[in-house]
Order: sequence, then C-alpha cells, then structure tokens
Amino acid sequence: MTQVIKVSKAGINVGTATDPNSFIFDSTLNTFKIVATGTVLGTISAGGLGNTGTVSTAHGLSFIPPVVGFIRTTSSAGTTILHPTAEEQISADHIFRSIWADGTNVNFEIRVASDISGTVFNCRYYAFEVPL
Amino acid sequence: MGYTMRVSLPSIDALTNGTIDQYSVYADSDNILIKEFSRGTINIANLALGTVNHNLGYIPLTFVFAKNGGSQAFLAGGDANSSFPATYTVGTGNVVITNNFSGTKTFNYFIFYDQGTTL
Repeated sequence: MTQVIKVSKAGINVGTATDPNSFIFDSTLNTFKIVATGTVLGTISAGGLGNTGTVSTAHGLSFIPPVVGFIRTTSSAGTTILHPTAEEQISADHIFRSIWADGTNVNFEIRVASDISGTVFNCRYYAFEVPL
Repeated sequence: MGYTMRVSLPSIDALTNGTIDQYSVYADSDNILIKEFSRGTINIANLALGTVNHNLGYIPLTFVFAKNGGSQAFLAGGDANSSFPATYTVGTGNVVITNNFSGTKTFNYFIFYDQGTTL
C-alpha cells in the first residue's frame, strides 16, 4: 500500500476528495520548489532614451535554473513593482524587458524609457528546482 | 478550524507563530503549495506558434521558459523587443507559445493544477 500525506482545504474531506485543487498539500504531486532566491541593487546609466542595460547577480547553483523575478523602483511618484512585459504596457520611466539565467548569474534586462539617471533598481529573483 | 502544515527553518521554533519567511513549508487555505500538473519541452520554429494541451477546463498557473542554446534560459512573456522575445497565452484547454527568436528554440513548460486566474 502506498503511503501518502495529504492536507485538505477547510471544509473538504481529505479522505474522499479527488480533485487536486481540494488539497493544500498532496505528496503524490510534485510541489514546485524554490531552491534559491536573492536580491541585487543595480543602476542603468541614462545614456539617452532607449538605453538598455543588465543587472546581474550570481545564483550559486550548479545548473541553469528557471527563474522569475520582480524589480522595484522608488521615485517621487511612489514605488513601482515591475514584471517583464510588453514595452507599450509600461508607462513608468523604465521597462523591465526580460529576466534570464545562465550557469552562473540571474540577469535582469532593463530599458530606460526616458533620459534619466541615478535610478536604483531593487531586483529579486526566485530560482526553481528543475535544471533547464 | 482550518488546517495547516508548517516546517520551520533551522533554529526556528515551529510551534511559535512566526512570519511566513521563517518556514520552509507554510501551507494553509490561504497559502497553497502549488501542485504540478505536467511539464515538458516543445520545439518551435522562428515566428511560429506551439500548442501544449492541458484540458483542465480552467486557466492554470503556467510558467514557460525559453532556451537559447545550452547556456541561457529566459522567462517567456517579456518585452517583444528584448533580447529573447517569446510570449505565451494560457487558456482553459491549452497553452500557446509564440517564438519570436531567430531560429528554432526549445521551450520548457510547467503547468500547475492551481488556477492562474479566475474569469
């Protein structure tokens, strides 16, 4: 007999439920695991409208991990949290173009949408378990 | 009474009601551990679409990563003008991936039982 650990959501019978979404945890299903996370501060020189730069930080893993990430910028207008998305959907001064990983680093690609300098980017990444 | 499962990080007392970042596992009805439904790879030619069927009947949480050779992996969905443009849309029956890279690329996808959004 296979032994499992299951924790159901409130109001659901853990012994009879079959829908995977009825459970908080089910040991028969892989839980996608975060194996590393980190933050890095970076700046991109203004360099004129359209200048693009990269902020990088080492992930410390022995493989190329799948990563997701977010960037926070703070200005007089407040705090903006960015996610990589299409250029035309962002009205802030900076565009978070992409996030990618190689065997050593996590890289945040940032484009300057207006000719400003001195902005500090607070970048955070989450690296997951599966080598790519 | 709601159920919870918690495993604390080293040197943290698991019985003490700490903050979520003090646990390696912190699960209850409000903090669901995401459960993997399927994973795989698909090769898509330049400027072409690739479809992965899931048939869950709702929009699941999905991650897609684009491989560039053997040394780089990008989270798809970024700016179309970025160094590695690839996008994906998730429907109630499938995931459609668009390759705007130059050349055929390999995409890794991860689809979860947990809902990506509700309509």
